[in-house]
Amino acid sequence: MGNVYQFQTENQIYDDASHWVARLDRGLSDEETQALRSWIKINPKHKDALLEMAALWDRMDNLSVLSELFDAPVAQVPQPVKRSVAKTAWAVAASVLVLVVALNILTPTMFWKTPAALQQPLQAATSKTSNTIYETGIGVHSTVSLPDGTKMFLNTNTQVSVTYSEKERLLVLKKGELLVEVAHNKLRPLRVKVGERIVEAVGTAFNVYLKDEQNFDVIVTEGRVQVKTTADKAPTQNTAQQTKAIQELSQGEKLSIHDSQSTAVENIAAAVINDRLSWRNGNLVFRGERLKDALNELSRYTPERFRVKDARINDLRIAGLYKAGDVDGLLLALKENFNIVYSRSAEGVIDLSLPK
Amino acid sequence: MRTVSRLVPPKEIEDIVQETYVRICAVKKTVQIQHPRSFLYRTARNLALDHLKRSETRTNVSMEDDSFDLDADVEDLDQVYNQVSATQEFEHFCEAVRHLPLQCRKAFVLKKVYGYSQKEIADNLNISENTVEKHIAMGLSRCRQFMLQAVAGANEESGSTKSQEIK
Repeated sequence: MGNVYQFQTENQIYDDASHWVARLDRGLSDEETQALRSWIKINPKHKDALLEMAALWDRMDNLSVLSELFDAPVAQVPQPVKRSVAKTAWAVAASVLVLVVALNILTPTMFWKTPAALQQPLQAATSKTSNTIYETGIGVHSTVSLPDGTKMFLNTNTQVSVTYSEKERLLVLKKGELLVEVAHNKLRPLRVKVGERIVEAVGTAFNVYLKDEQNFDVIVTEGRVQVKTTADKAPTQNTAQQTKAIQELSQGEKLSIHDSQSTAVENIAAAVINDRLSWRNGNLVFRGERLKDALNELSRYTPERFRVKDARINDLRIAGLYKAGDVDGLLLALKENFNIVYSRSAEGVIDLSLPK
Repeated sequence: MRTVSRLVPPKEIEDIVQETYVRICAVKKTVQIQHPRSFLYRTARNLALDHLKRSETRTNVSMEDDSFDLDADVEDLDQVYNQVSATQEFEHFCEAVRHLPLQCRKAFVLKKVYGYSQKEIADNLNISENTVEKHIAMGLSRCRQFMLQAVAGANEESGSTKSQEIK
């Protein structure tokens, strides 16, 4: 029957109870504590209402997950989104993500899977060296289980060569983005060569994103890795002997290499890493990035090209979930939510503009 | 259900309870949405208990009975709210907040989403702390009404079996 709650007096009690909850939340003065006690005493329903509202208040703490979408505003200045520092426990699976992204996103070539490689699992390379190349096309992501139990997740437009020898497990990331969950084996470290750096792990997980030979980043999602510089650009045999300038990274840390120079190691939040790795499910998460940057990111997942005809578009900010490759969904959202119109040019480029 | 792209311009603070944002969070965070703290509830309960303790030492009623009684309150409450799953509840909460008047919604979002103090909210919205407190109290009270309607609605939809359980 439940509409007792509709009675005026009942509502008044709940309004008062709510007010007490708001005061309790900020902390009561001694007088207020006394006043609350008296209020409780007046009517048993007061106590019930107070407890009910307090419980509701606590349950509404659920809402705080929304704060991960945007950082809180500072004063009244609209804030560009800045990512917050880690606060949650590591929910990400044990993995090191080596992310390498090809800078040359304009190449419209489509590889749909590497011929042969995916069908031919690696031989357990205990005594002999074997070499296999794995590749994904634009907009494709793929999981590879290597014979030692190591797992590789390849993001869009990625190429990695895998060489297992007696002394090492060597992955060379030639382009794209790679997340590795490394099976533990002390005797045969796993190394990812990216540009002129080697990322070495014993049993851990990390992501490497290669923009190009000089620009890439490494994110460790579990355990530790070492990042070394190869002494020269010589081929990758005996890489261990050629390395120097070791940098250690542990869980939640990211190392970016710009123009072959490594920047300081930064800590990134678990939530941000989660977003960053959501490509494994075919999703991209934006939290207020500039549209220009978002378009660059989206472009990795489609052979289609975007051209911004109105500079104002670049600085718009965008938030939400994007299904990788869903260009139609993007164009629809841009039109409906951003008032951006598009047209396909003769050469097949998508032009984006704002109405005058 | 097929995931589709949901892209929006990031909006003002009061807009983050919008459906799009909510669903993005719900998709990503189903696990975390389950275990709320019960800090304020305990504070309130201790205060109430404290009061009962005093009045009832006079009448010689045992404390155990009181505690039992208070716990029973929570269970009753849980019965009502557990009619909906944690994720649904989360969506209801957002919906409830979305229906609040603008200033009230801003204050409430800063409080419950971002955990601001009343002082910080007052500075942020350029209103007095007293007003902030009123907004927050009103927000909470209205959210309760919204939840009651939402739960009632859910029960009607799911047939008579459940409605009988609540009473």
